[in-house]
Amino acid sequence: MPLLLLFYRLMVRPLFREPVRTSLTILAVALGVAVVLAIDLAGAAATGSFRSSMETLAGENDLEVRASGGVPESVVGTLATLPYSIRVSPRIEDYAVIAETKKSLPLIGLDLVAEGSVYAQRDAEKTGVSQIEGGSENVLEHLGDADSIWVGSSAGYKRGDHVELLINDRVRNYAVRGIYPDSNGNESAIVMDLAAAQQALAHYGRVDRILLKVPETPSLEDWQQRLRGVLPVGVEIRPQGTGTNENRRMLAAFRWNLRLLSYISLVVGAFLIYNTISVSVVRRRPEIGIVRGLGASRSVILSAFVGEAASFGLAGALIGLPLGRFMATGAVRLMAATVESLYVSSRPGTIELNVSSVLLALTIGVGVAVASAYSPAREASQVSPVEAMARGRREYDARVHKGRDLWLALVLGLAAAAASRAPAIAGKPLLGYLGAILLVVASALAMPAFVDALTSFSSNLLG
Amino acid sequence: MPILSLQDVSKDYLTDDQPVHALSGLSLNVEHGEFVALVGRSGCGKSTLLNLAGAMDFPTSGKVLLDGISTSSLNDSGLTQLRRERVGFIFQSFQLLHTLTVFENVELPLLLAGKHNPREVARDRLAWVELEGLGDRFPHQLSGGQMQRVAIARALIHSPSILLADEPTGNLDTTTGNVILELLRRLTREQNTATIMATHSLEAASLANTVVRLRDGKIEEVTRR
Repeated sequence: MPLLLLFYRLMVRPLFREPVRTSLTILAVALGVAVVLAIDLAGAAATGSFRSSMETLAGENDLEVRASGGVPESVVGTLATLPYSIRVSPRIEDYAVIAETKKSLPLIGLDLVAEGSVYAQRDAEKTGVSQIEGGSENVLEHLGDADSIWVGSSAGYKRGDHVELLINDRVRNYAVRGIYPDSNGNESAIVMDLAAAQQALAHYGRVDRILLKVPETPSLEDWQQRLRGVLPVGVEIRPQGTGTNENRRMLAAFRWNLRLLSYISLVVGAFLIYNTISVSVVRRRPEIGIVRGLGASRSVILSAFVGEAASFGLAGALIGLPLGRFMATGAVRLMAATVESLYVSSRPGTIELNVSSVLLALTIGVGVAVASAYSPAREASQVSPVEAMARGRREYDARVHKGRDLWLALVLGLAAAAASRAPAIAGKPLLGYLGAILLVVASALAMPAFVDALTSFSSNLLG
Repeated sequence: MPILSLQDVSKDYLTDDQPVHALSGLSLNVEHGEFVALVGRSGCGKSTLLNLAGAMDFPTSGKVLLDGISTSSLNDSGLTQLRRERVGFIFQSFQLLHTLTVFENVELPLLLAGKHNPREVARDRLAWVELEGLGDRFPHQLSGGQMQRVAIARALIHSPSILLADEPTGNLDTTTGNVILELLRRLTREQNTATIMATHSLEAASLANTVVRLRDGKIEEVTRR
């Protein structure tokens, strides 16, 4: 308690006397934390929906047929008429926005006559009742209607409701013909007949993919080989989920990339903390001497300066939390657009600021601040009381450090150049990231000498 | 047993890579309640002797015994504790912390020692130096003499065995300086604290029980009254 009181009097209270310096340092940490948090939250939201209904509604299939720009509808006929006992499920996959709530849901177009009979038969075998509320006769009545949709139970609609959907930049009214249960962890989706989906999305003559259920023998590889022969050029057949896994890997790499780049903002904050604490140590050297002379141990001095940095980090993290949440809103749109255009059809999910986000922010803010401040804080703690009270010594040290730092900056700059040209490790440009960080560090180290040279040049110029 | 015993103490420094013999084979004993004045020209070793006596530095050779404890036998942590418990410092430029009030400056050694509620002791010490009622002021709101009184109160708050004063009147006018010296002499007597004062002033030295004249890091003469 006495030491906490001292910490407040000697370290915290003086911060309020220099509001500009204090605010700038805290703001730098806050921005660093906010950027990292925003990228993390936005990444989760932008790619999170990919782990949703597209796969869970795919059913029990073995192979999938895909093509860039969609699979020609004629392939469905080709596969269906082969003399094998295989189930062919063509699909259209996109997103629809409920006009009233602006909520986005996956839109899945299925061959409902074929799928319905398969599922009805399977479910009847399992439970003795149909999965679709209202009875199969009523369902079949409206299967061909272009305005018929079926929705998951969690969407909150009931049979007979009318919903306005924004699909492909057009708002149209649809009638809910049935509800399917989605309480098993699946995300709710809007299901419509294949033809209706093609019409709504203007995907005429093409489907997004065709799922195939093949008999257990021969092997999947044999079936793949056998069916590949009947497919036109540009259409590929692969085990179901291959694309999903590939997309997952690409999305993971995409998020990893962004996350690492967001750490650059932390490096800037870290250097500001380092400089702030270094300046604090230099300016307060006589004070350190007095306090050491009066009985402060080295660990007390070390803790005081590390604590000062931790205060900056904590304040920065607390400001960075809401700021990061706010920035994530903007970032998620940009990231979702990139994900959509480069990787996979997706839709932004909810941005969730949860306990792990708060812990991440606090760890980053306080951790970076403490790590950055450790070196100058340790230097302060190593000063003997006699040396600390001998003014002038520090200025000499600073001059020595400036030359040393310039050399160090040169070495780091060269290392950064070499690292940026190094090949990827395990498919990731790890050394490239290292190069970027080294460049930031080198710039920071070179800055005092650069400012000195600039000042000298300006003085000569102005006489 | 003397409160301070310097036995054949030497201290060497390196300044701009040149060795400087600040103290050479110096021996001195100081008893409880003794008021010692160190006199001599600048660079004769007065401040170095105070640093060694105050456990702020180690001798290059010889022994410094503070209350019977050899400072050379301690690590930095032990030295710090010794300083915190048994030594009080008064500096020429007062060395008050300008962001702290008078009360807070005086309380500093007790808080560093982990003592709770030091305010009453601080109030008491301020009464010793006749500064009651000024506890909430900041140093810049005080005169030079008042600042030195605050420094004396701070140096005495933990009832040290030895009080070290480095040119305590160096920044004060003669009248104020005399008042401070009289105060130091009175407190030394009343508290039975040993006081060692480095000074250029022969007038200040005349108030001491013992005058130690230094020259080139050695004791030239010791005068006891």
